[in-house]
Amino acid sequence: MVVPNIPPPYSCQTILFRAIPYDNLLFKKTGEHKPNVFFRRASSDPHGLSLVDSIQGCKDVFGLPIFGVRSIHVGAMLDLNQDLWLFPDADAPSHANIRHRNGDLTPRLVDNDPECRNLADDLMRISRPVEYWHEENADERFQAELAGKRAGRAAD
Amino acid sequence: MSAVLNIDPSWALRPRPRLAELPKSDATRGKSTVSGFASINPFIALLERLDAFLVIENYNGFTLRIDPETHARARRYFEDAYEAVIYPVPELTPDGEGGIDIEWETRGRHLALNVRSREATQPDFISWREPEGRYEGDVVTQELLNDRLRWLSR
Repeated sequence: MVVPNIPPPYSCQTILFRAIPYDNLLFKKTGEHKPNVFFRRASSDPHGLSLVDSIQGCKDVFGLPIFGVRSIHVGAMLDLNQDLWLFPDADAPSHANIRHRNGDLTPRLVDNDPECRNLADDLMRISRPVEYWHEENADERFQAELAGKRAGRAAD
Repeated sequence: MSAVLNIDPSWALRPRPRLAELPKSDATRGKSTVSGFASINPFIALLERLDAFLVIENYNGFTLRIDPETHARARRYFEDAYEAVIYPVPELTPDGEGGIDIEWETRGRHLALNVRSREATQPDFISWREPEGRYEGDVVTQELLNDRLRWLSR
């Protein structure tokens, strides 16, 4: 097993984002995101569970409109103790993939159904919906709110 | 035939209308007639929702439409499981790879059936978890699905 002994491509404080690429990933009654958002799929996640470093980046990844965005804290992901790591995409610096620390892909449903669901539940638990993802200045608003929260915590 | 119910007791005592039992003229009228029954019967509502994935458009590179074989397998699971018992209507989600993910949730218990596309080499699979628990699962059989649905309803 090759265990990375280098820091992840993003600091633990970094927030990354996951797109909701089709509307069946929302509960119709509430509009909340289903855990299926974090199922790895061959078409969109061939090199790992795909995350990007901005809300706009989520919109740019797909050819057609998306249906939401979730934010995920890198440190919380690494703290899950599920042997996960972030691997940068050499061709797209704004993009990283979640894989196992040894570089193995996390399972798709067809590979290992329970493990795929457990990982999705874990990632749902530590991620948050970005309610205003559709706004033009969503990234600026997100970063401003994040800076405000961190300043508040530092002052406490 | 025993009738057991976990949500709305009145359903257990009512005969369940089946598509095959509809008057011929109504059955041939198709979806609009089914919609009428769907408003009063969760099983018909479930079949109607399943049918919708036969014609849904694929989107953003994801295969949302299920093939007729996948649809038929999912329908057979439902027809057998709901033969004597009306369970809650599950959440249906295309898995994005031509299969369909079917999930029931009752009092924090989760039961998930993944009916795979005809291209998938792996068999259909069922997973379940207790509240706050971790999923475990097995290759699905009708017996296992029925057993897990009873567990969900306990």
